[in-house]
Amino acid sequence: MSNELLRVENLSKSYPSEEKDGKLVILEDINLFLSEGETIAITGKSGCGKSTLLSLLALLSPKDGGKIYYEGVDTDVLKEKDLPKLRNEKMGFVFQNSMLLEDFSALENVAMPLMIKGEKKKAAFEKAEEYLKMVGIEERKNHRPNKLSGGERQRTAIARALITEPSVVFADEPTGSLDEKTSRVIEELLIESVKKTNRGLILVTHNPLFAAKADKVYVLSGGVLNEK
Amino acid sequence: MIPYLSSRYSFSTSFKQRDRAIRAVVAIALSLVVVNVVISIMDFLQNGRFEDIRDVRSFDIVVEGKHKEELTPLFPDGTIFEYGEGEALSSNGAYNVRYISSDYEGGLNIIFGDTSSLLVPYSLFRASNGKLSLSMLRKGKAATTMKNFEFSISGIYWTNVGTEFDQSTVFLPVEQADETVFFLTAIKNVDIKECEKTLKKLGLVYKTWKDQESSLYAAFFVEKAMMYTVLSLLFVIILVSLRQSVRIFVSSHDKECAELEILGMEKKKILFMMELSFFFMLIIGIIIGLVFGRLSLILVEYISKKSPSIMDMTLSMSYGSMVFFSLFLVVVTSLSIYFENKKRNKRPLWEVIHVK
Repeated sequence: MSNELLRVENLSKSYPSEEKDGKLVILEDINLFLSEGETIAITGKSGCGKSTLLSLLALLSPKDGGKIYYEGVDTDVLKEKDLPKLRNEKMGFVFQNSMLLEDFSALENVAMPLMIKGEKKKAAFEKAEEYLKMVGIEERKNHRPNKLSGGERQRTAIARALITEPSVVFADEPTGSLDEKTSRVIEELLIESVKKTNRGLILVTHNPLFAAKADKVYVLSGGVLNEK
Repeated sequence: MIPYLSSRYSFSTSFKQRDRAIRAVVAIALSLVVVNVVISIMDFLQNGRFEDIRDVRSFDIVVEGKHKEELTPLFPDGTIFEYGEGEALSSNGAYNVRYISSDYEGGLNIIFGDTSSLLVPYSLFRASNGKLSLSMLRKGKAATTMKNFEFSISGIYWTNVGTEFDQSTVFLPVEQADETVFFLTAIKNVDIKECEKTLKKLGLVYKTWKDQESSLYAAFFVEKAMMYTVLSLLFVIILVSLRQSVRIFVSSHDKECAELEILGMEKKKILFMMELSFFFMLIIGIIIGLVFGRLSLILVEYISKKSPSIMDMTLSMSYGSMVFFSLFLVVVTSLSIYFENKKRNKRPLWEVIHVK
Protein backbone atom coordinates (compact mmCIF):
# COMPACT_ATOMS: atom_id res chain seq x y z
CA MET A 1 0.00 0.00 0.00
CA SER A 2 2.53 2.58 -1.17
CA ASN A 3 -0.02 5.34 -1.64
CA GLU A 4 -1.49 5.11 1.85
CA LEU A 5 -1.86 8.53 3.45
CA LEU A 6 -4.08 7.90 6.42
CA ARG A 7 -5.31 4.73 8.05
CA VAL A 8 -7.63 4.59 11.02
CA GLU A 9 -8.36 1.40 12.98
CA ASN A 10 -11.00 0.97 15.67
CA LEU A 11 -10.98 4.61 16.67
CA SER A 12 -13.20 5.50 19.60
CA LYS A 13 -14.07 8.56 21.60
CA SER A 14 -16.42 9.27 24.47
CA TYR A 15 -17.05 12.14 26.86
CA PRO A 16 -17.81 11.96 30.59
CA SER A 17 -21.52 11.96 31.19
CA GLU A 18 -24.00 11.49 33.98
CA GLU A 19 -25.75 8.84 31.91
CA LYS A 20 -25.22 5.07 32.19
CA ASP A 21 -21.59 3.89 32.49
CA GLY A 22 -20.62 7.50 33.21
CA LYS A 23 -19.73 8.21 29.59
CA LEU A 24 -21.31 9.33 26.36
CA VAL A 25 -19.95 7.39 23.40
CA ILE A 26 -19.39 9.67 20.39
CA LEU A 27 -17.36 7.41 18.11
CA GLU A 28 -17.05 3.65 18.20
CA ASP A 29 -14.76 1.37 16.19
CA ILE A 30 -14.17 3.81 13.37
CA ASN A 31 -12.14 2.46 10.44
CA LEU A 32 -11.04 4.62 7.55
CA PHE A 33 -8.50 4.56 4.77
CA LEU A 34 -7.35 7.49 2.66
CA SER A 35 -4.99 7.13 -0.25
CA GLU A 36 -3.07 9.67 -2.35
CA GLY A 37 -5.28 11.95 -4.45
CA GLU A 38 -8.43 10.62 -2.83
CA THR A 39 -11.23 12.74 -1.39
CA ILE A 40 -13.45 11.49 1.41
CA ALA A 41 -16.56 13.23 2.67
CA ILE A 42 -18.01 12.55 6.11
CA THR A 43 -21.63 13.53 6.53
CA GLY A 44 -24.24 13.11 9.19
CA LYS A 45 -26.74 14.99 11.28
CA SER A 46 -25.72 17.95 13.39
CA GLY A 47 -24.10 16.85 16.64
CA CYS A 48 -23.39 13.30 15.43
CA GLY A 49 -19.64 13.72 15.98
CA LYS A 50 -18.33 14.60 12.51
CA SER A 51 -16.16 17.44 13.71
CA THR A 52 -14.99 15.38 16.68
CA LEU A 53 -13.88 12.68 14.26
CA LEU A 54 -12.01 15.23 12.18
CA SER A 55 -10.32 16.63 15.30
CA LEU A 56 -9.13 13.13 16.22
CA LEU A 57 -7.86 12.41 12.71
CA ALA A 58 -5.96 15.71 12.70
CA LEU A 59 -4.55 14.91 16.17
CA LEU A 60 -6.16 18.04 17.62
CA SER A 61 -8.01 16.10 20.34
CA PRO A 62 -7.01 13.01 22.32
CA LYS A 63 -8.64 9.73 21.36
CA ASP A 64 -9.82 7.05 23.77
CA GLY A 65 -8.75 4.06 21.74
CA GLY A 66 -7.78 2.78 18.31
CA LYS A 67 -4.92 3.58 15.99
CA ILE A 68 -4.18 6.40 13.52
CA TYR A 69 -1.39 5.92 10.98
CA TYR A 70 0.05 8.68 8.82
CA GLU A 71 1.85 7.30 5.77
CA GLY A 72 2.23 4.07 7.69
CA VAL A 73 3.57 5.65 10.89
CA ASP A 74 1.65 4.91 14.08
CA THR A 75 0.89 8.31 15.66
CA ASP A 76 0.92 6.70 19.13
CA VAL A 77 4.69 6.40 18.93
CA LEU A 78 5.05 10.11 18.19
CA LYS A 79 5.91 12.40 21.05
CA GLU A 80 4.04 15.62 21.80
CA LYS A 81 6.93 17.66 20.41
CA ASP A 82 6.78 15.78 17.06
CA LEU A 83 3.18 16.78 16.39
CA PRO A 84 3.73 20.41 15.28
CA LYS A 85 6.20 19.25 12.61
CA LEU A 86 3.76 16.55 11.47
CA ARG A 87 0.93 19.08 11.23
CA ASN A 88 3.12 21.58 9.43
CA GLU A 89 4.42 19.16 6.83
CA LYS A 90 1.67 16.58 6.41
CA MET A 91 -1.59 18.37 7.17
CA GLY A 92 -3.53 21.32 5.88
CA PHE A 93 -6.63 22.77 7.50
CA VAL A 94 -9.68 24.63 6.27
CA PHE A 95 -12.20 25.44 9.00
CA GLN A 96 -15.73 26.73 8.83
CA ASN A 97 -14.79 30.22 9.99
CA SER A 98 -11.44 30.10 8.15
CA MET A 99 -9.43 30.66 11.38
CA LEU A 100 -7.14 33.17 9.78
CA LEU A 101 -4.74 35.15 11.94
CA GLU A 102 -6.47 38.50 12.28
CA ASP A 103 -3.31 40.54 12.77
CA PHE A 104 -1.79 39.45 9.49
CA SER A 105 -2.60 40.13 5.85
CA ALA A 106 -3.89 37.43 3.51
CA LEU A 107 -0.37 37.10 2.09
CA GLU A 108 1.19 36.74 5.55
CA ASN A 109 -1.47 34.21 6.55
CA VAL A 110 -0.74 32.05 3.54
CA ALA A 111 3.03 32.38 4.01
CA MET A 112 2.82 31.60 7.74
CA PRO A 113 3.14 27.76 7.58
CA LEU A 114 6.25 28.14 5.42
CA MET A 115 7.79 30.68 7.78
CA ILE A 116 7.01 28.38 10.70
CA LYS A 117 8.73 25.62 8.76
CA GLY A 118 11.81 27.81 8.62
CA GLU A 119 11.68 29.25 5.11
CA LYS A 120 12.93 32.77 4.51
CA LYS A 121 10.24 35.45 4.55
CA LYS A 122 10.92 36.54 0.96
CA ALA A 123 10.71 33.01 -0.44
CA ALA A 124 7.60 32.29 1.64
CA PHE A 125 5.90 35.44 0.36
CA GLU A 126 6.75 34.61 -3.26
CA LYS A 127 5.22 31.17 -2.91
CA ALA A 128 2.23 32.58 -1.03
CA GLU A 129 1.58 34.97 -3.91
CA GLU A 130 1.49 32.01 -6.33
CA TYR A 131 -1.06 30.24 -4.14
CA LEU A 132 -3.18 33.36 -3.74
CA LYS A 133 -3.13 33.64 -7.53
CA MET A 134 -4.19 30.01 -7.76
CA VAL A 135 -7.25 30.66 -5.56
CA GLY A 136 -7.99 33.90 -7.39
CA ILE A 137 -7.47 36.62 -4.79
CA GLU A 138 -3.99 37.85 -5.59
CA GLU A 139 -5.19 41.46 -5.70
CA ARG A 140 -6.45 41.18 -2.08
CA LYS A 141 -3.15 39.92 -0.71
CA ASN A 142 -2.43 42.93 1.48
CA HIS A 143 -5.83 42.99 3.14
CA ARG A 144 -6.33 41.73 6.63
CA PRO A 145 -9.01 39.05 7.21
CA ASN A 146 -11.50 41.57 8.61
CA LYS A 147 -11.40 43.37 5.24
CA LEU A 148 -12.06 40.19 3.26
CA SER A 149 -15.44 38.70 2.40
CA GLY A 150 -16.40 35.23 3.67
CA GLY A 151 -15.53 33.70 0.31
CA GLU A 152 -12.19 35.49 0.15
CA ARG A 153 -11.35 34.33 3.65
CA GLN A 154 -12.04 30.72 2.68
CA ARG A 155 -9.96 31.07 -0.48
CA THR A 156 -7.12 32.37 1.69
CA ALA A 157 -7.59 29.44 4.06
CA ILE A 158 -7.46 26.98 1.13
CA ALA A 159 -4.24 28.59 -0.15
CA ARG A 160 -2.77 28.37 3.35
CA ALA A 161 -3.80 24.73 3.71
CA LEU A 162 -2.09 23.76 0.47
CA ILE A 163 1.07 25.85 0.54
CA THR A 164 3.19 23.33 2.46
CA GLU A 165 2.08 20.63 0.00
CA PRO A 166 0.64 18.47 2.79
CA SER A 167 -0.40 14.83 2.37
CA VAL A 168 -3.86 15.38 3.79
CA VAL A 169 -6.14 18.40 3.86
CA PHE A 170 -8.80 18.49 6.57
CA ALA A 171 -11.83 20.63 5.85
CA ASP A 172 -14.47 21.15 8.53
CA GLU A 173 -17.66 22.59 7.04
CA PRO A 174 -15.63 24.90 4.78
CA THR A 175 -18.75 26.40 3.23
CA GLY A 176 -20.88 26.35 6.36
CA SER A 177 -20.90 30.11 6.81
CA LEU A 178 -21.14 31.12 3.15
CA ASP A 179 -24.09 31.93 0.91
CA GLU A 180 -25.10 29.32 -1.64
CA LYS A 181 -23.44 30.88 -4.65
CA THR A 182 -20.12 31.43 -2.89
CA SER A 183 -20.38 27.94 -1.40
CA ARG A 184 -20.51 26.36 -4.86
CA VAL A 185 -17.41 28.29 -5.93
CA ILE A 186 -15.45 27.35 -2.80
CA GLU A 187 -16.52 23.70 -3.05
CA GLU A 188 -15.24 23.52 -6.62
CA LEU A 189 -12.06 25.36 -5.72
CA LEU A 190 -11.28 23.11 -2.78
CA ILE A 191 -11.92 19.83 -4.60
CA GLU A 192 -10.09 21.04 -7.71
CA SER A 193 -7.08 22.38 -5.82
CA VAL A 194 -6.69 19.16 -3.86
CA LYS A 195 -7.04 17.01 -6.95
CA LYS A 196 -4.66 19.17 -8.96
CA THR A 197 -1.96 18.87 -6.30
CA ASN A 198 -2.70 15.17 -5.72
CA ARG A 199 -3.42 15.58 -2.01
CA GLY A 200 -5.81 13.59 0.13
CA LEU A 201 -8.90 15.39 1.43
CA ILE A 202 -11.08 14.60 4.40
CA LEU A 203 -14.13 16.76 4.23
CA VAL A 204 -16.72 17.12 6.94
CA THR A 205 -19.99 18.57 5.69
CA HIS A 206 -23.69 18.29 6.31
CA ASN A 207 -24.32 19.33 2.71
CA PRO A 208 -25.07 16.16 0.64
CA LEU A 209 -24.42 17.93 -2.68
CA PHE A 210 -20.96 18.98 -1.57
CA ALA A 211 -20.29 15.52 -0.13
CA ALA A 212 -21.28 13.94 -3.42
CA LYS A 213 -18.32 15.62 -5.11
CA ALA A 214 -15.93 13.46 -3.06
CA ASP A 215 -14.62 10.06 -4.20
CA LYS A 216 -16.08 8.32 -1.16
CA VAL A 217 -18.88 9.41 1.14
CA TYR A 218 -19.24 8.15 4.69
CA VAL A 219 -22.20 8.71 6.95
CA LEU A 220 -21.68 9.01 10.69
CA SER A 221 -24.61 7.98 12.79
CA GLY A 222 -24.86 6.73 16.35
CA GLY A 223 -21.08 6.82 16.64
CA VAL A 224 -20.63 4.42 13.74
CA LEU A 225 -19.17 5.29 10.35
CA ASN A 226 -20.62 3.61 7.25
CA GLU A 227 -19.72 4.08 3.61
CA LYS A 228 -22.61 5.33 1.57
CA MET B 1 10.17 34.88 12.81
CA ILE B 2 9.30 35.08 16.52
CA PRO B 3 10.17 38.80 16.94
CA TYR B 4 8.14 39.41 13.76
CA LEU B 5 5.07 37.75 15.30
CA SER B 6 5.65 39.21 18.76
CA SER B 7 5.95 42.79 17.55
CA ARG B 8 2.61 42.36 15.78
CA TYR B 9 0.89 40.81 18.79
CA SER B 10 2.20 43.36 21.32
CA PHE B 11 0.01 46.16 20.03
CA SER B 12 -2.40 44.16 17.94
CA THR B 13 -5.28 46.18 16.54
CA SER B 14 -7.74 43.30 16.60
CA PHE B 15 -10.12 42.45 19.42
CA LYS B 16 -9.41 45.70 21.31
CA GLN B 17 -5.90 44.40 22.00
CA ARG B 18 -4.30 47.80 21.51
CA ASP B 19 -6.41 49.39 24.25
CA ARG B 20 -5.47 46.61 26.63
CA ALA B 21 -1.80 46.85 25.70
CA ILE B 22 -1.80 50.62 26.22
CA ARG B 23 -3.52 50.19 29.57
CA ALA B 24 -0.89 47.64 30.62
CA VAL B 25 1.94 49.96 29.51
CA VAL B 26 0.40 52.87 31.44
CA ALA B 27 0.00 50.68 34.55
CA ILE B 28 3.64 49.56 34.36
CA ALA B 29 4.86 53.13 33.78
CA LEU B 30 2.72 54.53 36.61
CA SER B 31 3.83 51.89 39.07
CA LEU B 32 7.44 52.69 38.24
CA VAL B 33 6.83 56.43 38.67
CA VAL B 34 5.18 55.90 42.06
CA VAL B 35 7.88 53.55 43.30
CA ASN B 36 10.58 55.91 42.05
CA VAL B 37 9.09 58.94 43.80
CA VAL B 38 8.44 57.06 47.05
CA ILE B 39 11.94 55.56 47.17
CA SER B 40 13.62 58.86 46.25
CA ILE B 41 11.76 60.77 48.96
CA MET B 42 12.54 57.96 51.39
CA ASP B 43 16.22 58.16 50.48
CA PHE B 44 16.15 61.91 50.86
CA LEU B 45 14.55 61.68 54.29
CA GLN B 46 16.78 58.87 55.45
CA ASN B 47 20.12 59.82 53.99
CA GLY B 48 19.97 63.44 52.87
CA ARG B 49 18.49 64.73 56.10
CA PHE B 50 20.87 62.75 58.26
CA GLU B 51 23.85 63.91 56.20
CA ASP B 52 22.80 67.51 56.77
CA ILE B 53 22.21 66.90 60.46
CA ARG B 54 25.63 65.24 60.78
CA ASP B 55 27.21 68.11 58.91
CA VAL B 56 25.60 70.90 60.93
CA ARG B 57 24.15 69.77 64.24
CA SER B 58 25.58 66.63 65.76
CA PHE B 59 28.68 65.91 63.64
CA ASP B 60 30.04 62.34 63.28
CA ILE B 61 31.46 62.24 66.78
CA VAL B 62 31.84 64.88 69.50
CA VAL B 63 34.37 64.49 72.30
CA GLU B 64 33.96 66.25 75.62
CA GLY B 65 36.59 68.93 76.15
CA LYS B 66 39.22 70.54 73.95
CA HIS B 67 41.26 67.86 72.19
CA LYS B 68 41.96 69.25 68.72
CA GLU B 69 45.72 69.23 69.00
CA GLU B 70 45.74 65.72 70.41
CA LEU B 71 43.35 64.23 67.85
CA THR B 72 44.39 65.95 64.62
CA PRO B 73 47.49 63.75 64.09
CA LEU B 74 45.44 60.63 64.80
CA PHE B 75 42.86 61.43 62.10
CA PRO B 76 44.79 63.18 59.37
CA ASP B 77 41.96 62.75 56.82
CA GLY B 78 39.25 63.92 59.21
CA THR B 79 37.96 67.39 59.98
CA ILE B 80 38.48 68.35 63.60
CA PHE B 81 37.53 71.57 65.37
CA GLU B 82 36.53 72.81 68.80
CA TYR B 83 33.45 74.74 69.84
CA GLY B 84 31.60 75.70 72.99
CA GLU B 85 27.96 75.15 73.80
CA GLY B 86 25.69 77.18 76.01
CA GLU B 87 22.08 78.22 76.41
CA ALA B 88 20.42 81.61 76.47
CA LEU B 89 17.00 83.18 76.79
CA SER B 90 15.68 86.23 75.01
CA SER B 91 12.32 87.90 74.58
CA ASN B 92 11.89 85.81 71.41
CA GLY B 93 12.50 82.46 73.09
CA ALA B 94 15.25 80.05 74.10
CA TYR B 95 18.46 79.65 72.09
CA ASN B 96 21.41 77.33 71.90
CA VAL B 97 24.58 79.34 71.73
CA ARG B 98 27.59 77.97 69.93
CA TYR B 99 30.95 79.62 70.56
CA ILE B 100 33.07 79.27 67.47
CA SER B 101 36.35 80.35 65.95
CA SER B 102 37.52 80.72 62.37
CA ASP B 103 38.30 76.97 62.07
CA TYR B 104 34.67 76.03 62.71
CA GLU B 105 33.47 73.71 59.91
CA GLY B 106 29.91 73.07 60.99
CA GLY B 107 28.19 73.75 57.64
CA LEU B 108 27.51 77.45 58.18
CA ASN B 109 26.46 79.49 55.17
CA ILE B 110 27.19 83.08 56.18
CA ILE B 111 25.24 85.69 54.25
CA PHE B 112 27.18 88.53 55.80
CA GLY B 113 29.50 88.92 58.77
CA ASP B 114 32.02 86.31 59.92
CA THR B 115 32.81 84.02 62.81
CA SER B 116 34.20 86.93 64.88
CA SER B 117 30.73 88.44 65.18
CA LEU B 118 27.28 87.42 66.44
CA LEU B 119 25.61 85.32 63.76
CA VAL B 120 21.86 84.87 63.85
CA PRO B 121 19.34 83.40 61.41
CA TYR B 122 17.50 85.81 59.12
CA SER B 123 14.19 85.46 60.98
CA LEU B 124 15.78 86.63 64.22
CA PHE B 125 17.61 89.46 62.49
CA ARG B 126 14.34 90.70 61.02
CA ALA B 127 12.61 90.65 64.41
CA SER B 128 15.37 92.31 66.42
CA ASN B 129 16.19 95.78 65.01
CA GLY B 130 19.90 94.99 64.89
CA LYS B 131 20.20 94.37 68.65
CA LEU B 132 19.76 91.15 70.59
CA SER B 133 19.41 90.91 74.36
CA LEU B 134 20.38 87.48 75.66
CA SER B 135 20.28 86.12 79.19
CA MET B 136 23.09 83.60 79.26
CA LEU B 137 22.47 80.56 81.42
CA ARG B 138 25.57 79.77 83.44
CA LYS B 139 25.43 76.28 84.81
CA GLY B 140 27.47 75.97 87.95
CA LYS B 141 27.88 72.99 90.23
CA ALA B 142 25.38 74.29 92.77
CA ALA B 143 23.02 76.42 90.69
CA THR B 144 22.22 77.89 87.32
CA THR B 145 22.44 81.66 87.09
CA MET B 146 21.71 84.15 84.36
CA LYS B 147 23.78 87.05 83.08
CA ASN B 148 22.31 89.60 80.67
CA PHE B 149 24.13 90.85 77.59
CA GLU B 150 23.14 93.03 74.69
CA PHE B 151 24.77 92.27 71.38
CA SER B 152 24.81 94.07 68.07
CA ILE B 153 23.85 91.65 65.35
CA SER B 154 26.67 91.65 62.85
CA GLY B 155 26.02 88.61 60.72
CA ILE B 156 23.33 86.34 59.28
CA TYR B 157 23.72 82.64 58.54
CA TRP B 158 21.70 79.68 57.31
CA THR B 159 22.30 75.91 57.25
CA ASN B 160 21.07 73.00 55.17
CA VAL B 161 19.25 71.54 58.19
CA GLY B 162 16.79 74.39 57.92
CA THR B 163 14.60 76.21 60.38
CA GLU B 164 14.50 73.46 63.03
CA PHE B 165 18.20 74.19 63.75
CA ASP B 166 18.56 77.79 62.53
CA GLN B 167 15.67 79.29 64.48
CA SER B 168 17.03 78.05 67.78
CA THR B 169 20.77 78.61 67.41
CA VAL B 170 22.98 81.68 67.48
CA PHE B 171 26.75 81.79 67.06
CA LEU B 172 29.16 83.88 69.11
CA PRO B 173 32.96 84.21 68.83
CA VAL B 174 34.80 81.85 71.13
CA GLU B 175 36.30 84.87 72.90
CA GLN B 176 32.84 85.55 74.40
CA ALA B 177 32.80 82.21 76.19
CA ASP B 178 33.31 82.29 79.93
CA GLU B 179 34.50 79.50 82.21
CA THR B 180 31.03 77.93 82.49
CA VAL B 181 30.77 77.17 78.76
CA PHE B 182 31.02 73.52 77.95
CA PHE B 183 33.60 72.81 75.22
CA LEU B 184 33.51 69.98 72.74
CA THR B 185 35.74 68.69 69.96
CA ALA B 186 33.91 67.73 66.78
CA ILE B 187 35.23 65.06 64.44
CA LYS B 188 33.85 64.77 60.90
CA ASN B 189 34.59 62.70 57.81
CA VAL B 190 36.08 59.72 59.61
CA ASP B 191 35.24 56.03 59.90
CA ILE B 192 33.08 56.18 63.01
CA LYS B 193 33.84 52.65 64.25
CA GLU B 194 37.59 53.09 63.88
CA CYS B 195 37.36 56.50 65.50
CA GLU B 196 35.42 55.08 68.45
CA LYS B 197 38.14 52.45 69.02
CA THR B 198 40.82 55.13 69.13
CA LEU B 199 38.83 57.38 71.46
CA LYS B 200 38.16 54.47 73.81
CA LYS B 201 41.88 53.69 73.96
CA LEU B 202 42.54 57.31 74.83
CA GLY B 203 39.89 57.17 77.53
CA LEU B 204 37.97 60.14 76.13
CA VAL B 205 34.25 60.69 76.65
CA TYR B 206 32.45 60.96 73.34
CA LYS B 207 29.08 60.63 71.63
CA THR B 208 28.40 59.49 68.07
CA TRP B 209 25.78 61.19 65.93
CA LYS B 210 23.46 58.21 66.47
CA ASP B 211 23.72 58.65 70.25
CA GLN B 212 22.98 62.33 69.98
CA GLU B 213 20.13 61.96 67.51
CA SER B 214 18.74 58.75 68.97
CA SER B 215 15.13 59.94 69.20
CA LEU B 216 15.22 61.35 65.68
CA TYR B 217 16.91 58.20 64.43
CA ALA B 218 14.18 56.09 66.04
CA ALA B 219 11.52 58.30 64.48
CA PHE B 220 13.14 57.91 61.09
CA PHE B 221 13.32 54.18 61.60
CA VAL B 222 9.59 54.03 62.29
CA GLU B 223 8.99 56.25 59.26
CA LYS B 224 11.16 53.95 57.16
CA ALA B 225 9.25 50.89 58.37
CA MET B 226 5.96 52.59 57.51
CA MET B 227 7.24 53.57 54.10
CA TYR B 228 8.34 50.01 53.41
CA THR B 229 4.93 48.75 54.51
CA VAL B 230 3.24 51.17 52.12
CA LEU B 231 5.68 50.18 49.40
CA SER B 232 5.00 46.49 50.03
CA LEU B 233 1.25 47.09 49.73
CA LEU B 234 1.92 49.00 46.54
CA PHE B 235 3.94 46.05 45.27
CA VAL B 236 1.07 43.69 46.01
CA ILE B 237 -1.40 45.94 44.16
CA ILE B 238 0.96 46.20 41.20
CA LEU B 239 1.49 42.45 41.27
CA VAL B 240 -2.24 41.71 41.21
CA SER B 241 -2.85 44.27 38.48
CA LEU B 242 0.04 42.97 36.39
CA ARG B 243 -1.05 39.37 36.86
CA GLN B 244 -4.52 40.33 35.68
CA SER B 245 -3.15 42.17 32.64
CA VAL B 246 -1.04 39.16 31.71
CA ARG B 247 -3.98 36.80 32.17
CA ILE B 248 -6.17 38.89 29.87
CA PHE B 249 -3.34 39.34 27.39
CA VAL B 250 -2.60 35.63 27.15
CA SER B 251 -6.20 34.42 27.19
CA SER B 252 -7.16 36.90 24.47
CA HIS B 253 -4.44 35.36 22.32
CA ASP B 254 -5.38 31.76 23.10
CA LYS B 255 -7.05 31.19 19.78
CA GLU B 256 -4.22 32.69 17.72
CA CYS B 257 -1.68 30.62 19.67
CA ALA B 258 -3.71 27.47 19.02
CA GLU B 259 -3.97 28.37 15.33
CA LEU B 260 -0.21 28.85 15.13
CA GLU B 261 0.25 25.48 16.81
CA ILE B 262 -2.09 23.88 14.30
CA LEU B 263 -0.02 25.47 11.54
CA GLY B 264 3.01 23.73 13.03
CA MET B 265 4.56 26.09 15.53
CA GLU B 266 6.15 24.41 18.53
CA LYS B 267 4.76 25.08 22.00
CA LYS B 268 8.03 26.46 23.36
CA LYS B 269 8.25 28.90 20.43
CA ILE B 270 4.69 30.05 21.11
CA LEU B 271 5.60 30.57 24.76
CA PHE B 272 8.68 32.56 23.72
CA MET B 273 6.57 34.59 21.30
CA MET B 274 4.10 35.48 24.04
CA GLU B 275 6.90 36.32 26.47
CA LEU B 276 8.49 38.56 23.87
CA SER B 277 5.16 40.21 23.01
CA PHE B 278 4.60 41.25 26.61
CA PHE B 279 8.28 42.05 26.99
CA PHE B 280 7.96 44.72 24.27
CA MET B 281 5.11 46.28 26.25
CA LEU B 282 7.10 45.97 29.45
CA ILE B 283 10.16 47.68 27.98
CA ILE B 284 8.06 50.56 26.65
CA GLY B 285 6.34 50.84 30.04
CA ILE B 286 9.68 50.81 31.87
CA ILE B 287 11.20 53.48 29.60
CA ILE B 288 8.14 55.72 29.96
CA GLY B 289 8.16 55.03 33.72
CA LEU B 290 11.81 56.05 34.05
CA VAL B 291 11.35 59.23 31.99
CA PHE B 292 8.22 60.28 33.86
CA GLY B 293 9.79 59.16 37.14
CA ARG B 294 12.67 61.61 36.56
CA LEU B 295 10.22 64.34 35.54
CA SER B 296 8.16 63.69 38.67
CA LEU B 297 11.24 64.13 40.85
CA ILE B 298 12.01 67.44 39.13
CA LEU B 299 8.42 68.52 39.77
CA VAL B 300 8.54 67.49 43.45
CA GLU B 301 11.86 69.35 43.85
CA TYR B 302 10.39 72.42 42.18
CA ILE B 303 7.31 72.37 44.42
CA SER B 304 9.45 71.86 47.54
CA LYS B 305 11.65 74.83 46.60
CA LYS B 306 8.71 77.09 45.77
CA SER B 307 6.59 76.20 48.76
CA PRO B 308 7.75 77.84 52.03
CA SER B 309 5.99 75.23 54.15
CA ILE B 310 7.90 72.29 52.67
CA MET B 311 11.59 71.70 53.23
CA ASP B 312 13.84 72.00 50.19
CA MET B 313 14.34 68.63 48.62
CA THR B 314 17.12 67.45 46.37
CA LEU B 315 15.95 64.13 45.00
CA SER B 316 17.89 61.67 42.91
CA MET B 317 16.75 58.63 40.96
CA SER B 318 17.28 55.42 42.83
CA TYR B 319 18.69 53.49 39.86
CA GLY B 320 19.41 50.37 41.90
CA SER B 321 15.79 50.19 43.04
CA MET B 322 14.56 50.88 39.53
CA VAL B 323 16.65 48.04 38.09
CA PHE B 324 15.45 45.75 40.88
CA PHE B 325 11.82 46.73 40.35
CA SER B 326 12.10 46.39 36.56
CA LEU B 327 13.62 42.94 36.95
CA PHE B 328 10.83 42.11 39.39
CA LEU B 329 8.27 43.11 36.73
CA VAL B 330 10.07 41.04 34.09
CA VAL B 331 10.19 37.97 36.33
CA VAL B 332 6.56 38.29 37.46
CA THR B 333 5.25 38.73 33.90
CA SER B 334 7.47 36.01 32.57
CA LEU B 335 6.24 33.52 35.17
CA SER B 336 2.62 34.62 34.74
CA ILE B 337 2.83 34.11 30.98
CA TYR B 338 4.46 30.73 31.51
CA PHE B 339 1.66 29.54 33.80
CA GLU B 340 -1.12 30.98 31.63
CA ASN B 341 0.41 29.26 28.62
CA LYS B 342 0.66 26.04 30.54
CA LYS B 343 -3.02 26.31 31.39
CA ARG B 344 -3.90 26.63 27.70
CA ASN B 345 -1.62 23.77 26.73
CA LYS B 346 -3.59 21.43 28.98
CA ARG B 347 -6.66 21.91 26.77
CA PRO B 348 -6.95 20.12 23.42
CA LEU B 349 -6.25 22.43 20.46
CA TRP B 350 -9.65 21.69 18.99
CA GLU B 351 -11.32 22.95 22.12
CA VAL B 352 -9.20 26.13 22.24
CA ILE B 353 -9.92 27.17 18.66
CA HIS B 354 -13.63 26.63 19.08
CA VAL B 355 -14.09 28.72 22.22
CA LYS B 356 -16.21 31.74 21.34
